Amino acid sequence: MTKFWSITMTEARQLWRRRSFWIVQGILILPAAIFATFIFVYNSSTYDATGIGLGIPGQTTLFIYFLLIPILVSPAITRDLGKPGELLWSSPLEPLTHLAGTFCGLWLGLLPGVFLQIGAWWLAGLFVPSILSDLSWFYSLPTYLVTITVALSLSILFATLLRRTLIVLITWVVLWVILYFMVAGIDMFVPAQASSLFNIYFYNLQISPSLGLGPFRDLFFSMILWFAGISLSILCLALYLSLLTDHRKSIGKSRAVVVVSATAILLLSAGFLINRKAVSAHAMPPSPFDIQQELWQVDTNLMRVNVDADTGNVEGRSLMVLKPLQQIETNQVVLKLNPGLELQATQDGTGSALNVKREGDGVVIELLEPPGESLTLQFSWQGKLYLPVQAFGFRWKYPDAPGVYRNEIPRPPGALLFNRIGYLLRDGDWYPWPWIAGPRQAQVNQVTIYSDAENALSSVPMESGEASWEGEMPAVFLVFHPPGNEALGEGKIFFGSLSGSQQVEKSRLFAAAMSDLSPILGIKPAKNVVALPYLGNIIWTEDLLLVPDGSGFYTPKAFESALDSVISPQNHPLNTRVFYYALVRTWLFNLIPPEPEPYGHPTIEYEGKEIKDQSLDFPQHVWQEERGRWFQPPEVLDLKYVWNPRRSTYIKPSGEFASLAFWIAMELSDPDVMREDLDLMAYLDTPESEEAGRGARYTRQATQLWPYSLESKAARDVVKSFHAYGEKIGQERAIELVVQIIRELRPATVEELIAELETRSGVQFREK
Amino acid sequence: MKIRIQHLSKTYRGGVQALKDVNLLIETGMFGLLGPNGAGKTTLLRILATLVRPTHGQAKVDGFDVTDRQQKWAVKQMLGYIPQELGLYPNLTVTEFLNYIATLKNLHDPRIRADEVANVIASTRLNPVAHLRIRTLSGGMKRRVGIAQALLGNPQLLIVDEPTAGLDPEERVRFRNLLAQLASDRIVILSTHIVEDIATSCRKMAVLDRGHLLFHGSPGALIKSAADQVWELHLPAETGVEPDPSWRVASQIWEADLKRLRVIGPRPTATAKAVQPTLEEAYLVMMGEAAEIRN
Repeated sequence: MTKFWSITMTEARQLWRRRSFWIVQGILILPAAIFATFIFVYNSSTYDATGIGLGIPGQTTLFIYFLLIPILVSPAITRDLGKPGELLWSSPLEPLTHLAGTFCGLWLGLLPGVFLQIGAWWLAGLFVPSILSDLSWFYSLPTYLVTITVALSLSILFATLLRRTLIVLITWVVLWVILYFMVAGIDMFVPAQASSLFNIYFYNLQISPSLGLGPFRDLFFSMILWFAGISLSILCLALYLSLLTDHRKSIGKSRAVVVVSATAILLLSAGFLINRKAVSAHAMPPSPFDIQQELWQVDTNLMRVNVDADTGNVEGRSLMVLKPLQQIETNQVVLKLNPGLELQATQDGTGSALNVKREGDGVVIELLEPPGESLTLQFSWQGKLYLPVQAFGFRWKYPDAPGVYRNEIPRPPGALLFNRIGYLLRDGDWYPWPWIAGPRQAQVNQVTIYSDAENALSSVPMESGEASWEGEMPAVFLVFHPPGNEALGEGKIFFGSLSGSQQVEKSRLFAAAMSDLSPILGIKPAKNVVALPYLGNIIWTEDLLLVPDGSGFYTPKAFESALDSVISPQNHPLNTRVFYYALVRTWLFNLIPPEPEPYGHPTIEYEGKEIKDQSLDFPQHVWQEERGRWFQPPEVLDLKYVWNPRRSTYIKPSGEFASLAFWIAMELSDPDVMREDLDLMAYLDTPESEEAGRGARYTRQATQLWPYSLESKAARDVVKSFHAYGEKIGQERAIELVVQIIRELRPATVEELIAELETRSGVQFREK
Repeated sequence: MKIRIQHLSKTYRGGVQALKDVNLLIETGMFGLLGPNGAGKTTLLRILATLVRPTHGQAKVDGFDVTDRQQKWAVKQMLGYIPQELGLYPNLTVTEFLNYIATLKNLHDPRIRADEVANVIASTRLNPVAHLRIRTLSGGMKRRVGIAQALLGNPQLLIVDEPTAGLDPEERVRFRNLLAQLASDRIVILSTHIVEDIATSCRKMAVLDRGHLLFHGSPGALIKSAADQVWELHLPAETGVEPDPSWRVASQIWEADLKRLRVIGPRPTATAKAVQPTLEEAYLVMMGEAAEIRN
């Protein structure tokens, strides 16, 4: 051990005394320094973090560090392959001790660099809130350590083989660039590894403020095991290679080498197998070949569900009366049900047992005879909710993303129960229901849920752990809130115990916006505000306001300016408008739900050709093998994107209402913010703005934290016209009338609203 | 303690035969190894230092076979080695480097190690530079560091390959004396081109040429073997008067208006008189004979 420590410390000391080490560290802390200085000098604290990809401290520079590591490592290896080796190998030194000491010494030697880089980002984050400083040590440090461990062992192998630092560096960089390109294609410099086995930076690892690593825990630890196995195996390989190429070395204690080699193989195999298992345990389940989309209407739904939050077990029974909306020739019923739940007993109306087959995220029920005008089914199911995470899949926020990405994103779950935290939403897959695009409702509804969880919140009062609903089904049945909380009137704001200051502040802003808006919108403010993991939308009911806590695979595009924006005192007026907008839009769409996006055919690769939408002319086995699945865009988009060949946008009806929401938010916000909004709208219609280019226009909109819908001129025109109308009759009166009409008439279009507005106010909306 | 070398041969990849059936017995004291470049001296030393495996034959150090996988570790334990080209760690200080090597030589107790390092620093007169980084030292100082590291652990076998190259004469003499002093109770094998180093310090020596062992014995015996082969004659020191090109001139010294020549081989002129050969001349005689035999 003395020798091992001596070698370790000597290597570390030598590394720290090399000028190149500090030059590399200097280069790597430059981005943080430049970025912080830039923001500081220009006092541009509204800079959108997501736009520049610096959210996670050091994520960008880690990639560069990885590529530069051979510069630091290789000389230590090639040196001992040369003259100094004469002294080493004529002494009683075991090559295994030497390699282990060298590895640990270099690892230790690289540590100050790691701390320096993360520390620089952390420090920059103190001045620039857009850097998620909270993640510096909790997330970035382990990521750095794992990455440098693998990079170090690989560099040692390369140096042993190639024996020249320059050759090692060139080979290293070329190899990784090729590998990145092969794995991530054009996005090679954002190494979004499709395979967790290659995901050396743990890129896209989802950390939830409530669940921590959550469902990623198995993946994370199996990857640690896998990378440890890789490192140790590579070191063993380097040892064997050096024994072959450097005849001065010889092994005295061969048993130790055998034990280390066996451990390496064991770690490698175990890491691989456990990782594969973890990946498949959270894979995206394929949907059945035919999902019978919009085929059934549910007339009656009588359901009792028992939820054990401690074990995560969900157990339910239901009776469902289905009515086919079209002529049906098959005697199958296909329903959606979470893959973690097992349909234990299924009977028809006569009590006869029916065969059930599980197909991915659906169940196929074989009827005894073709259904008539209506069909009664009884179900009994139980299990734990499955959460697909598509191991380290690309977190692509845009539903109009080209190519295959959109099929790689797990949808925001409609039901989650993990570590006693979660939610059961109406449109979730925690109970069997036909595939329909719109909100679920039945003519007759009776739902009872039992749960003795102390953290259960419901939209109806819970008595003895029981909550019952009759009539219209609420958007959310039950919420199991995270433990972090603070008082909010009679209720509370709940947030994850790992929430950073920004996340908590966002929950507060949501609560404050709700309190400000409620009297204006004529609704009772919800008692509790709960920030929840993996949530794909804002849900505002009479009793609950549920907001995404920032984790998950999908950030609602409509609310990204609220969820991703930087909360700071300077930004407060702007932030207030942003949160007003998010809530007004939610309120508006609760009353006038936009037409849901239909389920779409997936785009899959078949025999090298991409099969486009609306073509199902490929065999069922290909569908299954390629994991083809139906999907519904996670949210209704306010704009329609067309690529012909350049991207252009068209406003949708929902976009017009979203603009209306923006107008209300703008009018209620700080006068300076409103003036800046209006100035920007005016500027965007000028020829100068056209000349400035799309990038410059986008930057100004992002700085003003605008929703994406205002990218459209038509949307901005809606805002401007309502503002002009408000000027005529008074803004307060205009808002009051608009709210009144929406609540009373729920107009289908903004034009209908305008017509009614003119009638009630007696003032022309537009000049004729 | 003895080193017994029997039928030792080494052929490198590519067919270069560095040693050919070498037999030697080396006992306690200073042992000189002489030979031209490519004679196989370094190969022999590296075999003894356990760095190279011989193709045939055996070399035993104090009964431990240097080629045996286990026994070689006992040899490493008693070895101090100064290679021809020193590979030091330039970013370490002298003390740090010696500490490091001392640990590799199993000096695990920190106090003993510190004492040992202090001793070798003192004996190699490195005290003034002990705290300096090696890269800042002169060539001579670096040589001293090489010597100091070899002395760590009080090795019973000290192998020194071309140690005085690059040293000034004063330094060389000091180093030679140090080795001679150390050789009183251990084997010191000194490989060198500089015959004088061997002549003044070695009790026994060997001459290698192209892998063959040409001589093994005392320096005196080598000198004796060259008796009546070295001649002295005088030539006028004028320009244009040059020695006969067929003579093998070992040395020429200018004295006033004369040039005193020492010539090796058959008597060059009738006036030449036989003189007592030096070790260098004896070595040259031997190398000349070896060349003649080869031709």
